[in-house]
Amino acid sequence: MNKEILRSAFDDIRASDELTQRIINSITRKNIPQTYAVKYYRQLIIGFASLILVASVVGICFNYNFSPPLPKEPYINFANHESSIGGSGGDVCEMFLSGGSMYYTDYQDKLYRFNSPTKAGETVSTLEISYASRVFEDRGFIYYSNASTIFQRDIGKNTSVPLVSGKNIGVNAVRNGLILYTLAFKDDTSGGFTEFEYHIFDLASYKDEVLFARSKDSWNFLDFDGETAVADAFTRNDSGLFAIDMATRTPKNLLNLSVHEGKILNGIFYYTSHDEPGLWRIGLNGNGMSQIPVPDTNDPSAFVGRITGYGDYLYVADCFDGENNIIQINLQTHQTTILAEGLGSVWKLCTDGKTLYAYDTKSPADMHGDITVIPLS
Amino acid sequence: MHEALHTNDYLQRVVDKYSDMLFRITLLHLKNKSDAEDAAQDVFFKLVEKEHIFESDEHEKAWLIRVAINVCKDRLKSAWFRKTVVFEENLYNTTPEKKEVLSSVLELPVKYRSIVLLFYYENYSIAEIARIIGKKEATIGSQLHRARKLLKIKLEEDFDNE
Repeated sequence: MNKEILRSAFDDIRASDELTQRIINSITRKNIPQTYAVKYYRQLIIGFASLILVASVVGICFNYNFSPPLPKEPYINFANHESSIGGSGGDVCEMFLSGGSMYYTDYQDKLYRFNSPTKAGETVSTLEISYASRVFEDRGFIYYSNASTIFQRDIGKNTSVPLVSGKNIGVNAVRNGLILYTLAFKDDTSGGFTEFEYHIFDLASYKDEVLFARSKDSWNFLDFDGETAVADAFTRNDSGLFAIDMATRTPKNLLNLSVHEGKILNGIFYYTSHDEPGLWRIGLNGNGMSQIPVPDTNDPSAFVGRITGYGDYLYVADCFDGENNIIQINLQTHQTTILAEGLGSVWKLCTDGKTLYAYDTKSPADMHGDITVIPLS
Repeated sequence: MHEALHTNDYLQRVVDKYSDMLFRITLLHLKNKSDAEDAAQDVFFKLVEKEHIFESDEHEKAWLIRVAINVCKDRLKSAWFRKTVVFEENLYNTTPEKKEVLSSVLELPVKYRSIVLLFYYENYSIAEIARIIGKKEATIGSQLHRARKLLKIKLEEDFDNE
């Protein structure tokens, strides 16, 4: 065995024809062919569409009280906010707020506190954590796993205690003292982890319950508000988006599509999907699905990549015209405001309603980015 | 190479040329076909979103590799349980020997996997990998050395430096 075998083994990994076709279909669908003939027809179509658009914009502005997008600045425009750009100068894995401070982790094991005046990260502690693992904040504590134990760390005291142990254990979500976690089981024949068991650990009673018994079903939890968890699931019988009521432990199928990112706010799940571009909402009972208008002009490749929210406001990173823009949406009036524009790639958003933090890189190819701080009025 | 990015001909060419490479990178990071396919698709979405003018084919390729790694890092956070899944049985029509090699690579720490792929399969030098990944040459060199040692232990075979 030598490097030739290694090369040969890598060579056997190939994208399927189905994948290639799916990619072609999805990305060319977003693009307008540039041949001369199509360009000619495109001009006619655009002319006609412009008339419809003008009428639509007038209608939408009337119905949803849109603020027109702010004029573009070379790099970033913070609208009317007194803002600053803070450089972390590094790689941010997770970002969350606790006790009025913003914390972030790198991909290794460091927890940092973001110091707004100096715009730098101060090392808070070294975590007992696996590479690129998720970290969840809940009521002043953070929860994470090193694949054999889930730890609870008091951010203020900077001390941690082990909570639950198990081989290949990982945290999925934490809210209101409830931890959703997974145990992964190895398949002896393939050598991989192919079965999963999902648990709920109640921090009030230290009671551990099985949510979903061991099976090949996989549940990718997108958000959890303490009462309902929303997950992208691949089960024996079904796949798609599910809401799991923690009181009854019953999953309800909401949609049959793959969701890119989502956020539960005031009983509504807001989401974005490559299958249906745009920003969407659906009730946790499956009712009231509708699209939320966002000011992404006419760009056919526009995509809402990040969603967070607080109170009556949703904050999204909407990529259009080749740039990411951070948009505030008032969920009562549907009024939208562009808070920042001209960002490259936005990887993380978090807010406590007073300040919005974004981790962004100038290009999707950059390995290190900046933390953008946007005070909210 | 000042080719207009948003033509379908260009996108068809890029997908034909790089989908295998990007799928290899995403699969090595995510260890799961479904996630790897979605991540590879995300890379092309980012290409469409960003109107980059690439200076050369090499620049284009390096940009795609870096975006693929970033997309995988982003996905690793949201799919903990699926990142631990390795090759499904019979997913690839390959020999048991090669399957063993791939399994060993997948058991390496995630940061070593793409370095092994870029060095041994894409034939990048340590200096080139350092530029693509954004780390010091010495770091890449030592990580490659550790990866080789781990593979040697797992496979009881040696890998040379060339």
